[in-house]
Amino acid sequence: MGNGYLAICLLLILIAFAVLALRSRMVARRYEAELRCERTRAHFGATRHQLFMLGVNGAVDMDAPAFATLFFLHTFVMRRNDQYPKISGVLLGQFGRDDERRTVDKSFHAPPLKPVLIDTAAGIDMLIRDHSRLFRFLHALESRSGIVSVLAKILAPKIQRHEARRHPEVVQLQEARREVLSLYHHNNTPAPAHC
Amino acid sequence: MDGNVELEHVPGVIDAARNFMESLVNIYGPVGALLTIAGVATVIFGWRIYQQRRQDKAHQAVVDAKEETIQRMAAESRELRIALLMLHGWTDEQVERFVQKGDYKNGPQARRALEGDRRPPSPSSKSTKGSSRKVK
Repeated sequence: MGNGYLAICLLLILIAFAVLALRSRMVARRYEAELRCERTRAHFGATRHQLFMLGVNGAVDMDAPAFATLFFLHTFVMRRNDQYPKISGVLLGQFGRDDERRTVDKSFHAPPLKPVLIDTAAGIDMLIRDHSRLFRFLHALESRSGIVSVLAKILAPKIQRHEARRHPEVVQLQEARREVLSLYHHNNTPAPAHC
Repeated sequence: MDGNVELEHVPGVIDAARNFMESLVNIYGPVGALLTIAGVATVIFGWRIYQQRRQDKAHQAVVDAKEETIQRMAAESRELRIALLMLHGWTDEQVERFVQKGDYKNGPQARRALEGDRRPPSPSSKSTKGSSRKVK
């Protein structure tokens, strides 16, 4: 019986530590998700303030549709940067290919608006990356040098196809990012996949 | 009654645990079994420590990010205050007297940059003074 009690005690201690480790992992992941949300929110907040100051200084016309569109878009994302389907829907509505207003309105092509557009595209890139663990893994590989980055280039199309099937909203976000970048480049040709 | 029913299983569980230990000893030998258990325990303890550190690191990162957001919002508010004061006809000199510009990551960094390293006496230093008086 003595051996039995010893074994039970040992197993209980191991199970207790395993449970504590699992709990820490869960909490850590929640913190990491919160961190990603906070960084994205901060990025869009800074971009919105940059746009606002351009308007205050008179560099950008505050009555132009470009100002209103970008300002409300940034606010929208800041309020719900974890609700991807809604964001992708709004982004596609604003910057989708079938949106005639974008092609008609030239206020998006104002030169002072360029840094805001590129920051908006970078923000959408953050949203895409934060949405999927595989994209985060790919980004981590891409940021390394040497053979790891080559591996990232090999894996990128496969991950892209896989995630496009799993999360259709990511495809919409990518399309919106391409459109924002094409506005940045002052023409309607599609921008490269990675900005 | 329910309690008795549950207690009936306790010897069985202990027997199962003892059998498990005995089978480990039979398969790996006494030293092997001990090493196996020690290995599993080390892996679980190590994992626990790693996850705890990961949690602490993530928590600190969130706190830092929130602090940066507060500083960013303070900077935005400062810029808007400047714009408002200029709108009311204040000169640059007047604005500079009341609004100090800076891009800081947290409160202590801003304080050190704007006010120097003047730190208020901490409660511990006060208690030390008190104790020295008593000694005198």
